[in-house]
Amino acid sequence: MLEVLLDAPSELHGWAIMKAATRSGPTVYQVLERLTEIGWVSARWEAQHPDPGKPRRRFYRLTPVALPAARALVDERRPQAKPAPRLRPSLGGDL
Amino acid sequence: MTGWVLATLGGFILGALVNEFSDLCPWLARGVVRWAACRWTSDSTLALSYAEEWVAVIDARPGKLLKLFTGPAGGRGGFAILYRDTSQNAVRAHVSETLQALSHPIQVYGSPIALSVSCGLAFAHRLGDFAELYQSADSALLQARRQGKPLVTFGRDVYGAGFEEPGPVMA
Repeated sequence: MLEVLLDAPSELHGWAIMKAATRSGPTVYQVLERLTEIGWVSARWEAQHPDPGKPRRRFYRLTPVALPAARALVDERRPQAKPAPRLRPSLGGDL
Repeated sequence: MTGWVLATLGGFILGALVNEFSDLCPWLARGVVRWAACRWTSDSTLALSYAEEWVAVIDARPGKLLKLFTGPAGGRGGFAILYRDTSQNAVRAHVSETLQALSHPIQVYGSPIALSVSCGLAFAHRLGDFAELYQSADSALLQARRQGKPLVTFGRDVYGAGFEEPGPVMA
């Protein structure tokens, strides 16, 4: 989820986060609650949905304070790329 | 001839029913998430806010039939959706606070000793087989200890749908 919020070009609403993180609603909202509690995420309601008649959405974004720590955490947890296989000279071969 | 008429009529009725149901799904989904928001938190203001937000989430989901399953999707089955057992959360919060208080270093002959406490909890919604309940709490404790830091972990509900949610006690 942190990765999703970090990679987002701007703020994201709940459905966009669920879709990008491929996590279910409860998981996403529990994490958002915790991140909001510790001040890593800020939320705001949009004044009005761009499409008339649609319910307004709530947008989330990482706070500037959280950015360095979030990036460090994501980098730490991101699976390391496997080193390229070392080429060994063939012994013998066609001499 | 009668068979052909019945098949046509049956197809028409079935189509109408499916169409009606698919129109009904978004409305049902909105009702479900509003209900779920009330179960999510005991704070009525926050519940209203979540209800409004989740209605927007449902609305953003494309399709009609799928809206009904957006909340539940990937959840712990059925309409558990955005549902959270507030009583479990209340207990967990209470136990977490207690463990946090316990986890402050204590002075023994002038030397600080830090305690690390893990806790496994299990819920039973009705009285029944206590051995099973103890077993569930025991496995939750084992899971909490395996995490390597003080945790409050719920075991699988003995009589419920099953719920496991580790929550960190210490930052």
